[in-house]
Amino acid sequence: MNFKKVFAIYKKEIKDALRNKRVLYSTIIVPLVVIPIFIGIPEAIQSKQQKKIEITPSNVMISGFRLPGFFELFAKSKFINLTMAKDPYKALREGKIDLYVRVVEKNPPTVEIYYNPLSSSSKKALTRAKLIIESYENSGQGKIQMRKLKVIPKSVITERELGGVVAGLVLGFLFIFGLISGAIAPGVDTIAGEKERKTLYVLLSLPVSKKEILLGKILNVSTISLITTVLMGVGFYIVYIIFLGGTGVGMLKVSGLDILLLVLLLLIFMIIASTIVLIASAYARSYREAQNYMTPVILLIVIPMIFVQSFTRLSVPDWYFYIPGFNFMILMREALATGINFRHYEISFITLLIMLWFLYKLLFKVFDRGIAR
Amino acid sequence: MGKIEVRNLYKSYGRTRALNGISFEVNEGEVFALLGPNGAGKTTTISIILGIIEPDSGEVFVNGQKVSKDEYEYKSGIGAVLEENGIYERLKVRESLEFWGELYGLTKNEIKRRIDELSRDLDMGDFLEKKGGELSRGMRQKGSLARALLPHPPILILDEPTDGLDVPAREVFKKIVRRERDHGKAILYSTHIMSEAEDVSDRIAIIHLGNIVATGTLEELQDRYHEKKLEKIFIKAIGYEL
Repeated sequence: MNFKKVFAIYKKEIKDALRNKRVLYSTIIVPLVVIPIFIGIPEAIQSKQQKKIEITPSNVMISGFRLPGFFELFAKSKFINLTMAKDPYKALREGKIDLYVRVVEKNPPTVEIYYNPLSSSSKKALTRAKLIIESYENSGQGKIQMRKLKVIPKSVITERELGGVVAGLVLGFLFIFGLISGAIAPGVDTIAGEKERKTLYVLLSLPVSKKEILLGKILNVSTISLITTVLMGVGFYIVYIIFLGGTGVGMLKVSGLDILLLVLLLLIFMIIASTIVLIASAYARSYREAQNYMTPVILLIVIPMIFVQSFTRLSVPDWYFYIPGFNFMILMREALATGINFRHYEISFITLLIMLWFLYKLLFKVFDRGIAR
Repeated sequence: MGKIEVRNLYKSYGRTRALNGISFEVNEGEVFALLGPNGAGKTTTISIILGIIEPDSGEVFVNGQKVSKDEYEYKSGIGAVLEENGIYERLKVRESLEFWGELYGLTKNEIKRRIDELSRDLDMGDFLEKKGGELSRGMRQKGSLARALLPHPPILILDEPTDGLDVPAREVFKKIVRRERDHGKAILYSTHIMSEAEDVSDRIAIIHLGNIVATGTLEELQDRYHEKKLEKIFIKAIGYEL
């Protein structure tokens, strides 16, 4: 064995690898940029939110019968901030307060605790309130009253809303993931693959415009991505209904109009997903290079989904609907939980159309440049 | 009938100049050979004529119509065999031809009739129902030629059409080229094989490093360079000292 030659080969390989964009991408960009974005940022946000909830006092409203010392015990806690609201149920649903405690004069006195199961801070407030009530029962004041309290936690969120939020997350994720994953294989093949096989140059020599070629390719990728999504939905339905017993399906109610509106939005998003994949495919010089670009493409579409999962409030500000992908998922949830708000739909629809127009123009430019290279 | 006019074409890729102001004409009923080694600028010239890439400057006219980035209808009058045959691996040859026929705007009946004619003419019966991935190099080239001839175009552009073919297949190819020339087509024939240029062409342009260094009939070139063989003419024309 001549180690000089081994070293010479090693040196040549390293030089070659470091001049290969693909290797640089997977060696530097993926570990330094992609992975932190994919795992680190959502994790950091969630952990920051959790820490904030742990140290922030819960906004609690107490009303009803005044048990001696009961109110004062809440007021004394550094983790409770007593507050008032005109309509406590509405305030609780909208996240303006975290908990509403209502004491009813009965025998034994009943403490109804209203909370929002979709809000982490409300659930934290419920835990805190239960501990305070327990300490009240064990305290002098509680013992003087010689009464054991009856504590009833009550949700301000209906079963449909709760089921809708959960199902909305799962279905939204399923649809968006289905669309993007279904678009990747045909999207990479139809431009980068054709470039590599040189069939694209023959196609360009024929009496057909680049616009016609690209539209045909967008439709092809969209169709396959739609088939993937539909089959994914069917697979999910089979698993959920047949194997998991379909728990909670009865709670889900969505109107025909909302289904129609969601399908329309899904179709627009389908074309957007296909166009994004095609842009990466048109930019790449080869099939393998195009495959490498798919990780950031997936991230671009999956990141909004990760944010939506940590986001459980029922009512959201209008500007959220300007974020493509994110808006589709929240609308999906909205349709299943409360019914679509048309203002939100309008914003999402226009935003997605503008994005589609921009992406189509970009695809055309990248395709043109890719041919000239 | 067909005519190609190329005027003062310039094209660079980054710092590399591929075309350095070339001009030529291909007229009806002639085979015009663009003869040059790999990298001389032949494929770049053809890509510009076909509107695949844009020149930095210069003009191309096909049948009197100026070629521009957004024009593509003029390509209905061009049949092209490019360096890569463009046969779809997962489609049967017949399906590929049907697809190309649709792009040329032919009706279903016309496509069917032309496929039958070309199948007999080019002896494609054996592999018409085979997928592109199952074909030999020769079969693929025949499929590619069938595509070029499908719409009966007045112009044929052939870029290294016999590359990789065996001798009998080359002869068939050249015979077809002569026949199409006799039918009045304008044929631009790009090759780096001297004997092929000698055999099929009416006029020859020698292209070297993006420049056309000599143009004329074989006889004119022989007179000009006092050489019989095209190979020697070529060497003299590009200024190579033996």
